[in-house]
Amino acid sequence: MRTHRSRGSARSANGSTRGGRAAVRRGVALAVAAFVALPALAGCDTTAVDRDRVNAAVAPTFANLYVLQQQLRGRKVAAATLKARADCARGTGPNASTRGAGDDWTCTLSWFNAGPAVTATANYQLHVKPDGCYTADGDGPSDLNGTPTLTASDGATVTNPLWRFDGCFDIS
Amino acid sequence: MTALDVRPATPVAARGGTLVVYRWETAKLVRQVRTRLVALACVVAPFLFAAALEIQTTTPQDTLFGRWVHDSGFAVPLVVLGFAGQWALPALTSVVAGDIFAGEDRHGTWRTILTRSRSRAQVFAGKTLAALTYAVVVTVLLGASSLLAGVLVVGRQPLVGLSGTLIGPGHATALVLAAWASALPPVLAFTGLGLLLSVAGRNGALGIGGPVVIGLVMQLAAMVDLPVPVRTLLLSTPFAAWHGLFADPPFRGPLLWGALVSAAYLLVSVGGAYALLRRRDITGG
Amino acid sequence: MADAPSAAPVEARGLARRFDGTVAVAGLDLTVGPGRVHGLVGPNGAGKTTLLSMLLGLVRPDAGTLRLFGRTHAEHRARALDGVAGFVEAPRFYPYMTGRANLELLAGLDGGDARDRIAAALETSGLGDAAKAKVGGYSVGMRQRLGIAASLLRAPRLLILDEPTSGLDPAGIRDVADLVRRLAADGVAILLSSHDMDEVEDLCDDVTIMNAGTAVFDGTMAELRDGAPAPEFRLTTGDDDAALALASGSPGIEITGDGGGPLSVRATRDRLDEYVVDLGRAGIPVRSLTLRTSALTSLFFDLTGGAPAADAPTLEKVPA
Repeated sequence: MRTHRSRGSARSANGSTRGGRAAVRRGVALAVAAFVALPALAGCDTTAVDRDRVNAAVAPTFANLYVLQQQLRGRKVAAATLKARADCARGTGPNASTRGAGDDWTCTLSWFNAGPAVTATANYQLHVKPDGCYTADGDGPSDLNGTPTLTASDGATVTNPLWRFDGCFDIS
Repeated sequence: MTALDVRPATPVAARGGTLVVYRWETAKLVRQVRTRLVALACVVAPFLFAAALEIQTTTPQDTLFGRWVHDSGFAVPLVVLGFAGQWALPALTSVVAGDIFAGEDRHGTWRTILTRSRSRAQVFAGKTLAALTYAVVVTVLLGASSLLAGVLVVGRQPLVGLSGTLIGPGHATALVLAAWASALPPVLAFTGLGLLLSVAGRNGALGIGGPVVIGLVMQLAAMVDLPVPVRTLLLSTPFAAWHGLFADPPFRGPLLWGALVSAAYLLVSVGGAYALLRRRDITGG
Repeated sequence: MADAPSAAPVEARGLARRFDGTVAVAGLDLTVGPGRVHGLVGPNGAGKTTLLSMLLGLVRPDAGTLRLFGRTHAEHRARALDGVAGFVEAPRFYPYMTGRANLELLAGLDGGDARDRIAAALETSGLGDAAKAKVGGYSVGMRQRLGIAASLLRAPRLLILDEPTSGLDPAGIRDVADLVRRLAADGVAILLSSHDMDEVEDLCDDVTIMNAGTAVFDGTMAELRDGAPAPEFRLTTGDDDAALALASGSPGIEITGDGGGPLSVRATRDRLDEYVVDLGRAGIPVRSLTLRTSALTSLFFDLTGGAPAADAPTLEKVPA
């Protein structure tokens, strides 16, 4: 169309297009500036990811998946009797923290197994994302969460629900 | 001036004018090869994806429900939603929204349609409605096709939710449909952005590419641990609002916020687009 | 609606529009009466297209009033164009649809019984079977014909045509001229722009000559003719020196020659006839005599401050 503007309106056409383009450029510049500024804001400790929320999300999810795994292995347990607890923290040593998204969270799960007063534990490494979703990667014991698949009671090879699992919690 | 003076020489159906424009815009869309191809891709791609997953022994690890794609067909539409939704849905809707106004600039047809018996407001409203309809159609097609592909290729096994609970096939179907429905508000908001850029840029490339780039930038920003209010205002956040549906107990706060934020984006974009078009001089090609 | 509204098809007073500091139209008055064919002539950049764009509501005037059949764009929105049809610059359509589908779309936007007029409009425009082909493959002339068909769908009482014959072959130009005359006979007011004074002379009752955004002439064609200078002819003879000498004695003839090419003669037709007879009597052979610049074109250049270009094919018309 540009090539067609040989007549009286050529000035106007180019002129008003320039105006529109300039507005768009300003808008894009503003948007870019906003998104450059956002990470700076993130420097403030305003994260919605903290230990209480992670603990509260991981424990019941683990319990439910444990029940599922035991079911696959032919053993019937109820999630409520497990009384699963999670103890999660971020980082180690001097960098240890209880807040913020990152792939350096670790959790120790403990629950009552097979009768009273027998406590079992399992370890997980967690990648917690800023949106409140996490991936837990099994870190022992190996018969519980060390393999991606397991042999079910009927002999079939099935996905091991405790090898790795995902979950989300509310950050709003 | 007497009443006779304003009597039209051509009888005009002033009422329902928007609807007439809407009908013609949809007819124009149906005639365009590009729109047909996108619709076809929305139907076929999920089946190809599901088939490809079936052939492979590994599973997608870095997306929610990715580990379950061999175990439950309901995981497939959720993987498509989580994996492709963030960038594919803005791109799919922008193909039409980003060009629906700029196309008139490209073809030089603004002066052809604005010298008929429809006001600019009616032409704008009709085109906007057509673009929004298209957005709904591609989202529904992609969602329905993904669900169908998962169920047909993998099966109707129960789905393990995001709190480790088993979700039966009936409930899982409802939740998958609800999750895809929750993508509609942000898709419509991206459609609004496409419309705005289409009017402002008078250039289909900007209208189509702009929303995709904005979506990607917001997605990148969302990878940073932003304060919740800032995160809530990003248009990428509503695309993840469905996660809460699969938790036990479910949380629906993000759905509400996602809908509100999307509506705000849509209103501001469409309002801005109309303000630009209403006063614009139609000159040149 | 058979009864024409009593208000004039076009009534513009003091219309003005500038773009980025450049004046396109500067305080222009224009009146087009019912059934009149009104020519709008001016060199490129005179503001013709901006003026027509303002009439069609595509461009807003900065100042002035504009009424079409008594209606204004600001007050009546899309209804201001009721009974008005036409195009500015080359008419454009959707290339991925056929000519007919384009017309169906536009008829849909028009509403009413526009759809029933498609067949007749195609017939009148002479597009023929090309209506079944996609517009993407059309020539400029075919698009021009489709543009005329699209205008006719609105059964206009005022038809605005921006250089309607550009891109048309001689047969097409004749078709457009016939159509304009026929519509005008039916009482349709026609405003047509052109940069070809001779075309306007053939077709128009009234004429507005624009230059730099203002009207340098506004009146009937008869009034324009009265004020026109003598036309300019090119004369080639067997003996240019003798021809020059012969003319120097006769009144009402202005003749110049630069030695090499043909002589340039300015004279009324009567004086020219006498001069040619004199040449014959004096035994000076006349080898060719052609009209270089018609009377109105000469006036047009006088009014717009332009000079006839040495090779301007659109201005060169050999009298029949």
